Amino acid sequence: MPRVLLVEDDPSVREGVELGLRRCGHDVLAAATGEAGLEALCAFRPDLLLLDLMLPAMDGVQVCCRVRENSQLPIIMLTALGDDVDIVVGLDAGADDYIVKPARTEVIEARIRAVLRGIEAPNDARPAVEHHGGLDIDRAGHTVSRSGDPVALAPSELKLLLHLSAAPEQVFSRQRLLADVWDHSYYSDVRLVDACVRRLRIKIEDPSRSPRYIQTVRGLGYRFGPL
Amino acid sequence: MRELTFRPRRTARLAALLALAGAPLTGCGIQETAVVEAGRPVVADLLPPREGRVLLFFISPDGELLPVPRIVERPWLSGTAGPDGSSAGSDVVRGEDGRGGTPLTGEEMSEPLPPLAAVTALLAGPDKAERRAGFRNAPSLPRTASADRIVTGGPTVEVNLKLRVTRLTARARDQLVCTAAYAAHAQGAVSVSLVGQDGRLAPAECPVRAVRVPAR
Amino acid sequence: MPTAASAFGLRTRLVLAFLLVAAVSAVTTAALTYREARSAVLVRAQDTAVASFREEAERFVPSLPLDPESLRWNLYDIAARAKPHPWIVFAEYGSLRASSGDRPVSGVLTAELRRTAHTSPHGTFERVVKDGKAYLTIGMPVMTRVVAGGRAVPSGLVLFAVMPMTNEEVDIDALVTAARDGALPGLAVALVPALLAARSVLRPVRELRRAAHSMGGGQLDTRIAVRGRDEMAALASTFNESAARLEHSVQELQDAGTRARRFASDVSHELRTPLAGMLAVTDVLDEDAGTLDPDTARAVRLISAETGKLAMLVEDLMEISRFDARAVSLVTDEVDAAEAVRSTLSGRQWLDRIRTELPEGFRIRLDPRRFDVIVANLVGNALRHGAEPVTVRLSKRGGALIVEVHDNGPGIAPDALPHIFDRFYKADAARARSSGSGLGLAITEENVRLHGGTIHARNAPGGGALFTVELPFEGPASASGAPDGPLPAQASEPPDSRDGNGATA
Repeated sequence: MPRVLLVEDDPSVREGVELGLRRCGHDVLAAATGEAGLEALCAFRPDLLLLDLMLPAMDGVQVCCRVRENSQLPIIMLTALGDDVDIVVGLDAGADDYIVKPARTEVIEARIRAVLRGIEAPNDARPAVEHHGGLDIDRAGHTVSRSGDPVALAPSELKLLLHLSAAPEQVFSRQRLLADVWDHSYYSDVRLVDACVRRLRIKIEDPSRSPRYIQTVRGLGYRFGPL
Repeated sequence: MRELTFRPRRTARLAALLALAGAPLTGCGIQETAVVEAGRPVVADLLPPREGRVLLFFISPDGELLPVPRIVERPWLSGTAGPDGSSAGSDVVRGEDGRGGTPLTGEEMSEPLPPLAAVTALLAGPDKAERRAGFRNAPSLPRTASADRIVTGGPTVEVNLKLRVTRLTARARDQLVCTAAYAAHAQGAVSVSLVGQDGRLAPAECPVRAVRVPAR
Repeated sequence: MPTAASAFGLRTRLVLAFLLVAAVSAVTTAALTYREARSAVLVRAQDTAVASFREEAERFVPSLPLDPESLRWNLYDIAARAKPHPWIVFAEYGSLRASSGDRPVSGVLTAELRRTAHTSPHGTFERVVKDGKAYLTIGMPVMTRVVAGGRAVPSGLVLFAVMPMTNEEVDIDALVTAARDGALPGLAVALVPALLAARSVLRPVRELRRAAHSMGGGQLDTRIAVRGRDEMAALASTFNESAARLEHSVQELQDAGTRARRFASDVSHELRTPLAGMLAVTDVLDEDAGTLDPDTARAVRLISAETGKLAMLVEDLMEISRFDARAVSLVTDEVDAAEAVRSTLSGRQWLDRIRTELPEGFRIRLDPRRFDVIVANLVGNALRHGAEPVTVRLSKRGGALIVEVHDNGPGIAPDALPHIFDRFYKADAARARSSGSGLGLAITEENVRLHGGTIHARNAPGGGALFTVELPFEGPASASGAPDGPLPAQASEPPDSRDGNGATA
């Protein structure tokens, strides 16, 4: 069962979520501050980080950045609906998904499953490594290298890239990508997609040129290529 | 909300004001007036010298008592007039024409005609020229009457007449009184008592008073 | 009833009033001046005539007893020295009549003047207008001294003079002409100060109007410069005081409203944190309820269910607070309307309960999440308060997408219709405590307005409630004046690149 590290400052939320997830069979470690969470990271080695955005002292965005410095650990943010700016900042900092508080345990459980699923169930019906221009995508090994150098991708980034490159030049609407990649409902927040595309482009595109791999089709969505 | 409107009533008031202001102009041009007094009358010396005339008071066509001068000629009279007025009874008063008497000169003119002659001339009635001008005697004054004598010298002149003085009208009495008074006194300032066959009337003064001439 | 005068503007009326005053004073002045001048002309002529007539008569008066022949010559002498104008001299003595003219008696002399001249010891005159011509007639009784230098008695002789006043008439007519010719240019000249004065009066009025208009437009800090100490200045300062009080009142109201909204928002925020903890454990309660004592199990299930509702209510309150604070943003995208509706219905497992008429091909720019709220609230409302079957129908009218949600329930009570979108308004008193938060339709309406659209509720001709939403295809920017206030309606296109330049090959 997945090991979940929960960073949440409010004791009742912390305890409630911990209790609920533990009942679902998760191995949960709860931390009250960002600093404590970062410390527990090495010892606990979680499969997923459930991170409250509003934390005393070191806040969720900062924790997210620190984690992303050397880890592609799946991160789900806990946030309040309406804190729109925070959501965008958190997503840009590298979070893979977010959950609006208050939420039932089954909702949290479903999000955790969705984020972890793509990694756990690789599509192995394809050739081991695909070459797209300077980009090498290893679908089985879940690795991507650009001009031979490995690129560290967060789970959502990797899933998006795999999904788009599986059907090159096919246009996917953002609502479609939300449903396919994130298991979100059709009407969820498309900023999730936009933020992920932004992060992916920073990692695989040439910053001096217009996007080559992840291209925008105005009014319709995104596509991979044509190269 | 109350609205301020330019009420017709106010317009009418303004129009009335304008009309009032223009009212003096409506009487343009020269207006008629009533009869307005304008100072003193004409005053002049119309009468011949006292020595050459008598003042007879006749009734004018308008019914007024007016002094009518009549020129007298009496070349013979010089120095004969004494205090006794009875001699004057034979004086001739020229009656046929009022003018053309020979001018008298020197001290002959110093004495006026005696009152008896004046009254006699009055009783004789206006002459031709005077009648033409409309003068007449009062009807109650009988042409046939005559004066007996006139006593002067006192404050009252007494005129003795051969007629019934009580039957005389006021006008007729005034004629007699004025003629006698102005004959006896230059400015008529004496009272006159008429004495007739039927008695004596109270002394009276002439209603035609000589007044002081207003200054120029 | 509008009078003729009120049809004119204030400026016209002011100018007219000024001109009227000018006209009244000009006419009055002219009239009085004319009267004085006319009187002066006439008095001078009369005095001169009377005095010279008396003087000449005394020089040339005939002596008594009268000789009619020489009397005429005397009259000629007097007439020859007429002053200021020629006159004709008449004499009356007893019944004698003589004149210096053609006829011995005059038709101009009045009986009144003759009687007065005969009886009064004064000279007299009378102005007579005969056949349109004015004459001065003078009567002079003649008195004679009894002895030279002594007292005088009336002589019975009366002299008359008749003098036509032609020259005076000409002079007076000239006066009238002068007054008239002077008054008209005077009025024209008065027009200039009248216009200037009207302008100086109207300028503050114009400023006041501009300021009032500005106040009406919401500029509550509008003030007028107060100049001088006249009535307009008093009006201006009164306006300023009123404006200040109004601004203060409005500010207080706004502050109170802001405080109320902030309080609602704060309360929701504070409720949310404990709810987050409670909601996370409701599943635990539900699972274990079966193993508990029956009463405890009922209590635990109640707490679980109500916690869920409470969470919904708090979320709705938060949403309403954000609308009130105008802290909502649109994240628009171009979507297929039919697909969006289907997603909403399928996401809530409603697809098999709802009849749909969803033509394909309606691409519309909107915020999918808010559109989901709109459709879900309307359909949920229809399912709760109406009766199945519920129909969702898409159509197009002009530049707008029409979304209709129709149920087959009893419809909406007519007196409830105007309030159906009010917050916490319960159309059905019997179901006062329904499963909804009471904010669903209010939030729906806010979301529709945010899109620049409209929403209407009515009872369909065939029965049942019918909700109609109109949304512009081009998004909220194309709808004129739909969202009031500063709404951050940001359209979020998929970002093209870090350089911002699209590379659509």
